[in-house]
Amino acid sequence: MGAIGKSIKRVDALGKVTGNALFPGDINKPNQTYAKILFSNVPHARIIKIDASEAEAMPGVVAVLTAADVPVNEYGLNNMDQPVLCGPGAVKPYTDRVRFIGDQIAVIVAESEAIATRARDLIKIDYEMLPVVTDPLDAMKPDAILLHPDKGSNTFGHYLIRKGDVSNAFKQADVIIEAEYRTPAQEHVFLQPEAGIAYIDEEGRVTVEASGQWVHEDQHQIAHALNLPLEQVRVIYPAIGGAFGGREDISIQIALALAAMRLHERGIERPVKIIWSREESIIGHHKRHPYIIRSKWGATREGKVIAAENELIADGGAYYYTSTKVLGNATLMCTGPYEIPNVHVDSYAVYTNNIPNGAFRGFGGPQGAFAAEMQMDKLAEALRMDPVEIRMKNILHTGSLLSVGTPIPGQVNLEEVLRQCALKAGWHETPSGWQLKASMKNQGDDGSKRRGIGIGVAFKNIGFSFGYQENCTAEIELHGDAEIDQVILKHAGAEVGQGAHTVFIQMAAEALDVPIDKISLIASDTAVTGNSGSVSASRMTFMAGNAIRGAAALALEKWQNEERPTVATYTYLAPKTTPYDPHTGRSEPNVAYGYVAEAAEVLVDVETGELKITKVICADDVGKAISPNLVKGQIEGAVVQALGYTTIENFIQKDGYTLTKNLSTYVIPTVLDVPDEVESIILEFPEERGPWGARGMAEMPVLPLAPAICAAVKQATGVWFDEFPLTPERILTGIGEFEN
Amino acid sequence: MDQVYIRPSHLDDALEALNAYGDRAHILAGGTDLLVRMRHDGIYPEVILDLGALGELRKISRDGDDIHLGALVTHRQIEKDAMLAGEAGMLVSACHQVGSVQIRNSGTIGGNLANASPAGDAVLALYLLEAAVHLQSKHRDRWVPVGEFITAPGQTTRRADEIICGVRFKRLPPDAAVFFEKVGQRQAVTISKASAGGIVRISQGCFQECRLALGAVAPTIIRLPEVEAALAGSPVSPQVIDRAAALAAATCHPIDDIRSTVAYRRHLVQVLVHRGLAAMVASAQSA
Ligand SMILES: Cc1cc2nc3c(=O)[nH]c(=O)nc-3n(C[C@H](O)[C@H](O)[C@H](O)COP(=O)(O)OP(=O)(O)OC[C@H]3O[C@@H](n4cnc5c(N)ncnc54)[C@H](O)[C@@H]3O)c2cc1C
Repeated sequence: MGAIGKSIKRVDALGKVTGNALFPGDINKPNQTYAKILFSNVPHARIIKIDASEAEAMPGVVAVLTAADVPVNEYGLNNMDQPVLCGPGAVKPYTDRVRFIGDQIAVIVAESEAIATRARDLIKIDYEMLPVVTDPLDAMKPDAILLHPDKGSNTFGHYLIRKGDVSNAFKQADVIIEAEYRTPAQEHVFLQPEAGIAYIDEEGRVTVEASGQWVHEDQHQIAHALNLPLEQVRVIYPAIGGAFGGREDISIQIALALAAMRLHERGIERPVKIIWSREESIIGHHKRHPYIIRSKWGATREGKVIAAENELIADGGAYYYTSTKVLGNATLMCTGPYEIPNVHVDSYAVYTNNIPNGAFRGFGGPQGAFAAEMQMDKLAEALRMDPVEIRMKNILHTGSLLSVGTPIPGQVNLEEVLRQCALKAGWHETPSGWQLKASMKNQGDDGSKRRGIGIGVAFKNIGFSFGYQENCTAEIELHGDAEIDQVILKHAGAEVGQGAHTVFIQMAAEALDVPIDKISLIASDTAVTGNSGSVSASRMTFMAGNAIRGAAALALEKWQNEERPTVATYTYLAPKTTPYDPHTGRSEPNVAYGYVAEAAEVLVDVETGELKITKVICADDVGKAISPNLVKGQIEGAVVQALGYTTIENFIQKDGYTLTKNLSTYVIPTVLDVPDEVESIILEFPEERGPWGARGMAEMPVLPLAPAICAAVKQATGVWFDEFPLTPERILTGIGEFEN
Repeated sequence: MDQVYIRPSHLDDALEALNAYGDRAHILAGGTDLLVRMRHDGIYPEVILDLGALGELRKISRDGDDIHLGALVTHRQIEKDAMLAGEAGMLVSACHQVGSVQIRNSGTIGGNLANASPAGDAVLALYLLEAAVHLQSKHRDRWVPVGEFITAPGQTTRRADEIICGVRFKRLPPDAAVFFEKVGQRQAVTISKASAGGIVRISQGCFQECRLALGAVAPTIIRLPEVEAALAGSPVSPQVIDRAAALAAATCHPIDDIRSTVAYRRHLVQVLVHRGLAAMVASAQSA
């Protein structure tokens, strides 16, 4: 008892601070070879011919693999629309095309990385260039060039929500706010670029040690592309240097596995290793989706929002990735955590020749929340109402009907979350409602520097759901005689730096009522751990906790029955959910939610346009903080990542080419750019479906920060910014200081 | 291809080696530029001549009003030097704003000069100080004014057999007011979108000597002779400062690139020069 709710030392701390932990790039095996990937480097073209003869003839080159070497030349997490290697020679039509600059064409295996690199540069590609489409609005036009001609359209995802009657409701509205919002792409910048090593293990399995977020899904995609039975493929995660959604899709895994398999077939029993440079990482994996969101919302004089109409267009980039899932979330979140009687949403995901867009912490939530919260702030302004007050009047409560026509599951305490955040941030409740204290309204008189404060709220789903049966497996072994001496927990959930393994062990200790130090974890190896699902969608603590609890109960029962050794496996199946109805959008989309309110104070230099976020207050209903320091770490980390997204991170692509391919051009916050103060308010209103009441929380703080900062900048400058990042150039143009 | 790596312990040996290898050799000081270029631009020097063991080039020394910085003096050394803040304050500010502490611990003044970046921070201060660069080869020994040493982005008049041994400048008089300010994409580890620095002396309500320099808005760091001339002798007044700032913005030649735009850079020059002049006036008047 008492293992949870405490901040214990992270189980991976010692290895990571001493350098003993092995990240994929640190793993070396005797006699290994080195791989390099030839990327397309052109955004749209058909490959007529690949001439690798010179590369193959180069001394030190072990193999050059191209499309013709891939057994089933396709992969993808939700839809297998991406060739493993682009080029002629595969059976599947249209795999001879490259659709973005990071498409992979060849894998070069050599005695050293330097040789592989030089050999790569000797490969000649004969391209027939195709027209490039990078603006999703252009790509949606009927005459646009099709990225995937077999699909008949570049629009590959569409959801709608029809609740009530918006056109009638607009007639009743006293104020209507219309705007078009644009949110930018964002690069994950995990510390550790993609790397891995592949070999044939002692049982003859094609084995890949690399970083990812879901070992079993990687295994599945590798097995599919290599046309191998699942059990012939093994995926192991060593220490992982960050993920943030950026490792949900395959990067190097299939290429490595393919190389190891083909070498083996040629009698070459040598491991294949790869490490991507930062530049390769930046073009090689997906980004956060840029969204265009057109909103029209109406409210009554009393501040009740009665109609919300949104159209969302997501730039999916060249391939499917998780676009439709991200779109599903954005569709739900774009009307905010509010009970609005009349809702009309249409959302689209569109192929373009940009780098694919996909999962990134928040997963459609930040884009949706940006539009929703900006609309609320503008309605408040039009009604001369306080931004907290208008939110309080519309906020979700227990049992509220969501836009999708069904009640929100579980207890909702968002009002209290907002209350606590608002009080800390400088609001107070007066007889006439919520008000920002007069002292906080002052823009400041420090020369060119103007102060401002803004606030936002959001809800975030836990798990993928929308009809997908959420599941998670845990296995527990108990060893000992009269007493339990040792516990082995087997769990596939990836430790991507967030502290998942620590939390797993805490939860196992709690469920079994044994001390933490008796528990050892075997993690993330498809050969020994059951399927846990992905570490994403704020789901892992919730799902793993339920699985561990189930396994622990079963194990204790067997222990009581004197089964030795005691081995118990349990698969948690979350309550059922339903997908969007294609005609109305009606659904029971998710199992549970987390709730967040966030306030930001800013200082704007109206002469240079520089923006400094001085303070962030973030209140999160996490249900139960299994490990409070880890929760705080997630809040602070998310704040910094969201701050970068909102202010300085500027991913630039032009005509399908990436201009910000390294970290001197794609800049992220340094320690001097983070707020002087981040105050985390951890609230614990239990979620009945969560383990010990826990919800997920690691994405939530990302959602309301951009709109909160924009509201603060509005207070400071008098100008609404409907598009970010809020670079000085954008701010000065916005306030009319100059034309850019 | 094998790479030759040499790390002499005496300047003479270094000069000897450079004489032998000429432009096949690449000089390594702190490595903060060279290593990036080796990785990024794929340059692969045949010979690397590491100056790291030349302790004689690591010194800050003084001779009367003359201050001498050895080429291997790091940004951090300058930043932490007890006397330089009073002798050449904007050099200290500029070095303080270079990269991060790690970069400042490695990066050298010689490297900053040789790199000849239009956005170089320490170099901008050297333009204001009208420093002379000391170049030595096996056969020659010469001093070149910094403004003549740097000719274009990445281009200098250093000859293949020469090592930058250091720079020399005069300490500023006690009544000189100085400033340096840069704006980049973030608060640290950032390349200037624009930077500005200045030195003024004020007496009897008028600008006397006045020097201004800008970074990242022309192919090299530039001084602003027209603005300096317009200010010299003018009364200290808001109008004069406004005009000087506007003139500075008009005379620079910024470009659009991935980090910023012509319009913003020009605007920034106006703001930075304005702020700098106002701050120098305030500090001169309070002294
Ligand atoms: C992350 C990062 C941030 C940075 N931030 C800034 C910044 O804010 N401001 C700024 O101005 N710079 C910045 N720089 C650039 C760099 O740190 C500086 O220019 C530094 O002063 C270079 O010195 P070094 O000793 O490291 O040069 P090195 O890399 O060792 O050498 C650079 C070049 O100079 C030549 N060279 C060096 N010493 C001599 C010598 N004595 N004689 C002849 N040739 C020589 C070398 O051959 C090479 O071509 C940054 C660099 C990095 C990597």
